[in-house]
Amino acid sequence: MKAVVRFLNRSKSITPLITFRITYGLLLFFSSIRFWYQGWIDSLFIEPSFHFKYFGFHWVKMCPEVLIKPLFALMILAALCVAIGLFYRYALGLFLVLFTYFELVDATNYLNHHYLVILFGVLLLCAPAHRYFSLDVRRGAVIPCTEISQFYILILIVQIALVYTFAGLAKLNSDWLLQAMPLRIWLLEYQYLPLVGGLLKYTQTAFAFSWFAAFYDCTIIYFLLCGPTRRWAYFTVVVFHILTAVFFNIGIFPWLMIGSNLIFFGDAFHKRLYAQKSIFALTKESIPRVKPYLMITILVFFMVQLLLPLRHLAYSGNTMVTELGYRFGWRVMLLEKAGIAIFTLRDKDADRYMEIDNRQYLTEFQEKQMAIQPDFIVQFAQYIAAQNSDIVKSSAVSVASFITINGRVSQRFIQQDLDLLQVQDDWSDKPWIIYRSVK
Amino acid sequence: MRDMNLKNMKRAVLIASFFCLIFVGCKDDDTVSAPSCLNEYDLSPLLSNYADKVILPRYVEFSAEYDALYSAGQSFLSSPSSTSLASFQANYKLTYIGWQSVSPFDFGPAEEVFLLNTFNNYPLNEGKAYADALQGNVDFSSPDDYNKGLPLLDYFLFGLAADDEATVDSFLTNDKLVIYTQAVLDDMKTKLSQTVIGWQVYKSTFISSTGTKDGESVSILINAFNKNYEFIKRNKVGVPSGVLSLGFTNPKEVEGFHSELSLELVSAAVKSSRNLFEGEGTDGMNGEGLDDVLRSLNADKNGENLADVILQQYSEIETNLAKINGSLSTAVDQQKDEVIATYNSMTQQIIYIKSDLTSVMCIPITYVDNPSDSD
Repeated sequence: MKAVVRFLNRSKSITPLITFRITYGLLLFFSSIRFWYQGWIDSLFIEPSFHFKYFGFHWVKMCPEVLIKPLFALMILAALCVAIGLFYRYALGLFLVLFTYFELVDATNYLNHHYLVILFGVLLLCAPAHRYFSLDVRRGAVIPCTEISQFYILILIVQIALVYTFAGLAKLNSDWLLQAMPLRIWLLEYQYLPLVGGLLKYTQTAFAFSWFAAFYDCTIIYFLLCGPTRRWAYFTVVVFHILTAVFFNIGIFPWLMIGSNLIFFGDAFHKRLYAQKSIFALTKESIPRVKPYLMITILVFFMVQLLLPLRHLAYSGNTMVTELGYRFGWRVMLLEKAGIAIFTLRDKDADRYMEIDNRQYLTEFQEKQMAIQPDFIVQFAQYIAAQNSDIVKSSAVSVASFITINGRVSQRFIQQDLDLLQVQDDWSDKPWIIYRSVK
Repeated sequence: MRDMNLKNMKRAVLIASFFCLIFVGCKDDDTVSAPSCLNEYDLSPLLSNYADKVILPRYVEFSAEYDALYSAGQSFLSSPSSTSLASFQANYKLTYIGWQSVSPFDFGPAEEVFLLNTFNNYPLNEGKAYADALQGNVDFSSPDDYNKGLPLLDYFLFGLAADDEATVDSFLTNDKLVIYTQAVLDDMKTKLSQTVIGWQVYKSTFISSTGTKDGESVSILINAFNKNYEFIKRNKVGVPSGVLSLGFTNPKEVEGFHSELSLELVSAAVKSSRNLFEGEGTDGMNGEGLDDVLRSLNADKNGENLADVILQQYSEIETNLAKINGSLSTAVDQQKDEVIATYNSMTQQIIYIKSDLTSVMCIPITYVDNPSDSD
């Protein structure tokens, strides 16, 4: 135990952490501006009249419309402050709170890489990443240091390892490996690209991509950790993620990984980056040791992350179909999934019914997401009943729901004629999901 | 040092090979039904057939029908009489039915000039249309105004006055109606000719865009096909039938209410949709269509080819429609069961053409762009 603590407290240059802080801050700064510029604040936050929620977070409500953009602007500013290391802890804390808030407020917009941004942020918040090459040092608010416990570097590496490994394990399924699905669908769309375009119509190309991606995700972490292969591994990281950025609209994820994987390089590499800028760290201080409570907290943090992606094993059926235990599991790019959900609101007293026009309540994007996710289907059913409670007093809501997965024909998804108002949207199994595994 | 590196490298390779083993060991035992997809499928013949044999000829045919309506309209407006009204009305009916054959092509040149909104923004806002006519407000530039097109003719020629004689009288005594109707006719004429001319240029773009991505021709075509079909189901049958309003019917919401043309219009729209699916030309020749794609992909739906499933469903819809008599606006109350049965069979088809067809062809349904990233 003592040996472990001593190992974690072994001193290391602070520079890899500094590089991480700067890339993280700048990336989130620019991607948040992009988010605004694309009009997504309007289309994702302001336009919808209803917001889907995560289990346990129904209490997170959308703030008054006038506050949305100012809060978002504050978040962008905070990201910039993180990058330049100004009021670092406050800025990062504020950024994290706001970013997490905008994630929780509508579960429709769930993205694995946004979840990763939050996790990285939490880890950074624990680290003294402002104690070198920062405005906090410059303005004399903190005593600079050039060496830190390697604990702060290692936790980021563990985080990256978890992401890649679970993403890799998730790809080891028959659709991905034996059908090259859904890459076959997605690559087919890029036939028009110069040079590679001509190859993309071939199924073989999709297979090559699928197998390579699975191998990459499962193993890259070891090649990055191992000194002799590191350069080549990082080169692969850059090529791989740029390819994914070209082919898929996965936002900042490729850049986040290209940036954060720099952490694997040794002190020598990072020190060179700051060689001319020693002005920000004139004095050298003894290395602060990591407090035991922090070590234990981070340990628990990782334990939770180890369990969350595996929780789907507690449910029957395939999580790719049922979506039970799907989120927070690094299951990325695995599905081309679409659905149709036709809701019927029944007046139990008057023996009348009506079909619901989903678009009356949801944006097109929300409807698309709702149709494939059982918890959203339940939440929406409850919303329909509430919205029509003035005309239908004693209501029942059922759904005719069909989904398609990775190029297959559709299957009925939710038990027909089930009154969705009678079921709970929680973490227990949902036996009324009748499409459970792909054949 | 060198030894150390070598050792590390060996370790990494070892771990990597371990994962390779997992790969091989992880094959599922599930019987894998191979999903289809348009890999190495040449879409050119399909697109050529649609452009040359289906879309353009349908526009040509419809233009002729519209020209006849336009000149009948001119005759009536210059000298309103019961004879000229009858001719105007008859041509209106033919044109409205003919419109159903080009209604699905709401993309490219048609979309640019808002052809669909120009011809068939329905249901008509009768109050606004009448007020606009009296005020001489003939600005039709806003595509969202429900005061024009064929629904306006339905109202003015059949619903404005108690009978034909009174209709003729209104036009004789109220010049404003004449001016407004003329403007509506001109508006449609301009937009239609712009569309037809636009297609001469757009045709080569349409045929040469052979990819499957959102925005390429096959995606545009399938999305338009679906959108049009949903419009038939929801607006032409669903809304009047009361399935969207707790069973309280909306007889006035049918298409062609005053001219009592609703049932013919629905039938024509379903037939148009079916012919589009089959790639059937105006000459009656069945060319390369979406059904042929499904057949060559061996798209299996419950043991049958999806193409056959969809065609059978069209037949079921047609059978159900045939059981409805007279006009849809009276049937929604007097033949409730038949109308609901029709609606339900139309809903079933949505699952086949919106869900199954797009999935096996690997065409994403995107009425609008995704307002987000994905992962």
